[in-house]
Amino acid sequence: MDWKKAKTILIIAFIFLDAFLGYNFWLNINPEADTTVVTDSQIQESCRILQEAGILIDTKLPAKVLPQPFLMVSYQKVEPSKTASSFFGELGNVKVEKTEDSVIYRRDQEQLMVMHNGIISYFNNKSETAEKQPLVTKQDAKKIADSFIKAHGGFPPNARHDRTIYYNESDSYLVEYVQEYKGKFLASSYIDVLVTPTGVKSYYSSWLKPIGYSGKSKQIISPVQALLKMIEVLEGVNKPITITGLELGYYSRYYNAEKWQAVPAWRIVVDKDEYYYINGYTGELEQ
Amino acid sequence: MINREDLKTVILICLVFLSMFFTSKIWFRLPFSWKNAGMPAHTADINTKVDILNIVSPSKIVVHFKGNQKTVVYPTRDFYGDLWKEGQLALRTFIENIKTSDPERFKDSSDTYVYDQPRIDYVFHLQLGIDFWQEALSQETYKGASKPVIKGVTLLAEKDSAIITDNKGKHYSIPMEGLNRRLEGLLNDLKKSNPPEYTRFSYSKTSIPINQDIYVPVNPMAIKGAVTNSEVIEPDKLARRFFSDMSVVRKIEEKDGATIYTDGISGLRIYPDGAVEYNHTITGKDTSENSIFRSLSTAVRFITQHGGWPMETYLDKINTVSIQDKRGYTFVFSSRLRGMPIVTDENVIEVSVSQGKVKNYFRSVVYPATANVLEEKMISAQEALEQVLINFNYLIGLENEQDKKIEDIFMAYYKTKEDQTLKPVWIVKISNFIVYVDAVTGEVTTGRN
Repeated sequence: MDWKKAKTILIIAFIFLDAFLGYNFWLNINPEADTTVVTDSQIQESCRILQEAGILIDTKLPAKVLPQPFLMVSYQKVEPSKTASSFFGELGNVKVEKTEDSVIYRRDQEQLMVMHNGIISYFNNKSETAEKQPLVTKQDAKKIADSFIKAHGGFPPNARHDRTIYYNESDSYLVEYVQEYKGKFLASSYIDVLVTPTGVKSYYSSWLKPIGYSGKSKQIISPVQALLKMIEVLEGVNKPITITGLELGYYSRYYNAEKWQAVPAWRIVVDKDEYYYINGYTGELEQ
Repeated sequence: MINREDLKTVILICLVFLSMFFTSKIWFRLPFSWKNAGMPAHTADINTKVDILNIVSPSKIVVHFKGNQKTVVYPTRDFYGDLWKEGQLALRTFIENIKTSDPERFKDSSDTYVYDQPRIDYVFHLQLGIDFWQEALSQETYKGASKPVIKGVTLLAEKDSAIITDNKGKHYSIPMEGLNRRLEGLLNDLKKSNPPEYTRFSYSKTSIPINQDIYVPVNPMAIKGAVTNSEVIEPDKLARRFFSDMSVVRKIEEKDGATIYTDGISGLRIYPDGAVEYNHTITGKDTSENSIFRSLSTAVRFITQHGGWPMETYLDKINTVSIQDKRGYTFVFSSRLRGMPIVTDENVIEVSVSQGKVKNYFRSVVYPATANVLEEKMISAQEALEQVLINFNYLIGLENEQDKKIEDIFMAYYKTKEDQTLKPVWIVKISNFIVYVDAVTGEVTTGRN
């Protein structure tokens, strides 16, 4: 056997094999390789298709989307008595009732429920009889909500104002804050404050604890694909409608678990108020 | 100084190690189908290929020999398969006949004479339409104008004919060439095997009318109960059967011990006791509505691929449902043990199919083990009925006995959700009231409407 020749052939064969394997390895470790790029022509074409379906686009689309992993989250545990003190001050004249999964505090027409999973729910019916002070703008409502939260335990870290919805029937505003994790919203982690002309009527906090990213980063579907999904989602809705926002963040339902994963999701805002979440991996509507 | 050949050797070794390193880093995964992923530990009890005709086969076949001797052949017993093949042939012949001509032409008004003759009666648990049977027997769509729903089939070997009975009580007589010749050997072999002798049920101590199609053993039988084991499931492996891309699936371990998997479209929950629940969201504009047979085939294929098909499972109920404005079917499957139905508090397998897809799937299967259970002597059906009449007189309201009817009395196994044992019972159906009587002690277990 000609060993010299055999070695040369094997070296050449292995150089090709290693080049192929090396390229695949590079693709695996390089996040840029999984980056989703959106071209202008794709945006224009999708806008045209959406317009034909009665959906107008009034928001900017990102040209480049980096791959994202899951986000591991858990419930944020809260201390019921500490929370109650932040709402009622002295707890001497507050009635306390313990249930299987919560502690309920009552004083006059106020009720605070602190659930073991960290959800806080507060109602104040006293405001029904209080003097009415008409709310002028969304900004007024936000100021009241901001002050209320600061006076009752303060804002959790990474909270940001998300939206304020006006309810015509009750002349009230729902001011919503959402959690942000490393620049991305976490849709299931939020605070809602209902501001009426007589003051804050209810407060609801469901604040999650982000533990950290989980698993490998995976390619995110193009925002164009998410928008086109809306044709199917909004089928049967009166048109025309306008998509006023599009943002990548995290979404999850609530589970009776110690911890779970939230999935990257495109949040599509319709006519400023309505939110839809499209799974960033599968392109399906999250329900 | 290193020579050229030594240098080539070193380079080659380095290249080999480099290729091994890269390979380990980008190791290709085996497709799911190459692995035995997610199959429960009771692989011996799992069928991978399921014949729809065996799922809707008769719950019992009553054989009337010459000389008034009778026996009942239950599913999985010897001779059942061969007898059922003849029943299928009768159905096929009936369909062939009525495809081209009016079924009324085969209508037989002399519906009493068959009771005096040797014959084979096929008793179906579910009454299914002729269009279902056409698709099940020949994979063709039924196009006939008349769509009778089949209640039972009777073979009259000596007359080389079959009688098909529909749900309205009409009898259709069809010729079956060579039937006597084909059945002669089979019935002789069955008789030689000394099958348990059965008789038509009679009870003289009540004036409540009794259904004439109830057959019970002549001599008290010995029967074994059973203990049950739940399915042993490895959640991650089973989940791979439900989701094509596990990298986009979130796993949630709930505090109650259940494990949830979801990709946003589908959700799978595996309970600590081995029960499995799956839901799939309807998407798309597909408005096609499949026939019962095609929907059932979809359900059966799904069960086979997602946990396996447990032995002795049969179609118990079909409900028409509306899932997000789309018509579909929910199929409820139950189990048998040695051919006798197992009656439990919850459904064994339930599958909802709409638009040709499985939308909901629930599975809570138990596997009977009879190894260490002793055989015990059963009480007779008459004794069971006596217990019912004594204990349930006030509940059933037997003061108006003529309004009631003893619809059925049959053997079964009963299991509550809490209990892991399968108790042999007599099930007594009086009008809409069902009573379970312990087949060994005679104790009345429970009753319900």
